[in-house]
Amino acid sequence: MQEGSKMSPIDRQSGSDFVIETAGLTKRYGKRGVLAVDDLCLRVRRGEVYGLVGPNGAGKTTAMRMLVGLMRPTSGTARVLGRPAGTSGSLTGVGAMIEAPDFYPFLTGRDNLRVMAEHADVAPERVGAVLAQVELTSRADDRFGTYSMGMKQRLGVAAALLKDPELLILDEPTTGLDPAGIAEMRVLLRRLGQGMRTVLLSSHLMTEVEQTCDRVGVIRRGRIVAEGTLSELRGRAELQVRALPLERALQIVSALAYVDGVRSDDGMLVIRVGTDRAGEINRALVTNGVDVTELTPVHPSLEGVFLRLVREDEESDG
Amino acid sequence: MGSFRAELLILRKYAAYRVLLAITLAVTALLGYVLPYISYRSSSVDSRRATDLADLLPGHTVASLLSAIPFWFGMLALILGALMFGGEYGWGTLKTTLMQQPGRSRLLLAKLAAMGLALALTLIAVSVIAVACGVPIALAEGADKSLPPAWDLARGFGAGWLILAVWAMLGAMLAVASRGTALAIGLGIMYGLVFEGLLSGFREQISVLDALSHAFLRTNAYSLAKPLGATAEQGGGPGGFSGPFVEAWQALLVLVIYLGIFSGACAVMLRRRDVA
Repeated sequence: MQEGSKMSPIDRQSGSDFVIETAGLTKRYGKRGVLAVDDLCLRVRRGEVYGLVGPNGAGKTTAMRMLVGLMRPTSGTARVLGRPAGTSGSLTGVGAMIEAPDFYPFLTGRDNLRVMAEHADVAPERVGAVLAQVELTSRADDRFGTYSMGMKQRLGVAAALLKDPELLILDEPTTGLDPAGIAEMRVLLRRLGQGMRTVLLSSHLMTEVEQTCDRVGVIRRGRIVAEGTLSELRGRAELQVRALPLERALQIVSALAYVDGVRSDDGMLVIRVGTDRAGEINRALVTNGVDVTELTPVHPSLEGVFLRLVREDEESDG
Repeated sequence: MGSFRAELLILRKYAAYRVLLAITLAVTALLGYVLPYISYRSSSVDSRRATDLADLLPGHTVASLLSAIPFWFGMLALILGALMFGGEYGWGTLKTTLMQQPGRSRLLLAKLAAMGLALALTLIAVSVIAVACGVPIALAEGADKSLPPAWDLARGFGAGWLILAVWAMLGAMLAVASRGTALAIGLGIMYGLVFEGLLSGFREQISVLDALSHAFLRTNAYSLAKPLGATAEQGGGPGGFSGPFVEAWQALLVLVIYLGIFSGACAVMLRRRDVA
């Protein structure tokens, strides 16, 4: 477990390794309305960048709203930094940007942050520091209403950083950004996630999560359907082999004891086997008269894994 | 104090508040002094009434302002309350603010304090304009230019502030209830103009309405202002009010109860409802 000066007295007392812990967290809109979050059990460890991924409407934003106290759960519990979610005590160490960053359009970026700093009882000097951190100093004295989407997002992140929080909760921080803006935001997120700070990030963009997160939870219909590190979720790499004749190659590979599985896909063999066996596979095929024209180790993308998980979950639902 | 300072910063830079203040000052100067004085000077010397001039002199400032506060300035206060609270929903800033940890009760108290201060400053500004208009008239007419006694000024300020605060809180409550500005302003003005106005028109024929009209905002506002020399606009216009009047202490009590109910309703809605 990582220890550091950023731990609040509460966390030192509780000794919890998790900065976010939910149990059976459920949110239903209206008495018989939509079940947005369903029995969610989420655990985010101190110091990690955790990605909550899922399709639109999966319940990511609603879950985050409950974690910062904007919404009350229908049932279940959530603890943030060792305290009940949304209480003043838990919010002391939390910086958040949920959905679009919303500020007063007639105030400058700097004045908007001054307002938020006053509400958070943060020293005004922090305003300049966080503006510099998100590289918005040069436009800080322009009105928020004149900002581009990228600048609005950066101001939202700046507001979330005002308290120098232990936990940063960011909901779809690259939404609406152009490719350059997305790249800039990724660099910023990686920087923010360094050291002891914990980041909970939601997204429906798998590449964003792949490039920023240590651990990922896949959420669908308000439930976590899979969770793990990126490599755990991706599983082992596979070997893709282009060989002629394909049927003969399939027979040979299927007979190999160390192969976990093989299938024919789009004129190629996809073999579930350790990539260190590539040489042996090649030798087995060639010595049995099969021509091997291509042999490539392939790492499954998170997007592929995500789509497979969603499909499997749909099938299990019947 | 931090949240209060934040609310003051917002209010200071909010153009809508400056526009409302400018309208209030312009209405005071133009309708309260400039046009009545032109009208007074335009009439023949024989038909001039001493009371018409007396209404324009500095000594009559409290009564003149309190005549406009129960309805016309009340409507402007209602708009201010709706803008201050409804704007947070329209801009989505309620969510951003609450994530900074102030707590819903603290935010409400800060907003109420800032609104109360804004109303007090507005009253002071309006009084200064009224005196600034009344003194030249007194000098031109060779009339008494002395101000009302300090005690009358203090009572007038207290009564005016309370009336404006009740209207502003009605606007705030409607804004929180409707999570926005437009509907709140529409409903508030409809209530002031149509509901109270129209029902009052039938109070002499229907006894239930007569009893009900004793609880109206305008009834109690005018009743509180009347002992300080305020006169209600007669006739069937939108701001017209011909009674009933209740005792001043009763009016004070009813207005304080209204203030409590509107503030309480705001607090309950803010605390209990989810912020989307």
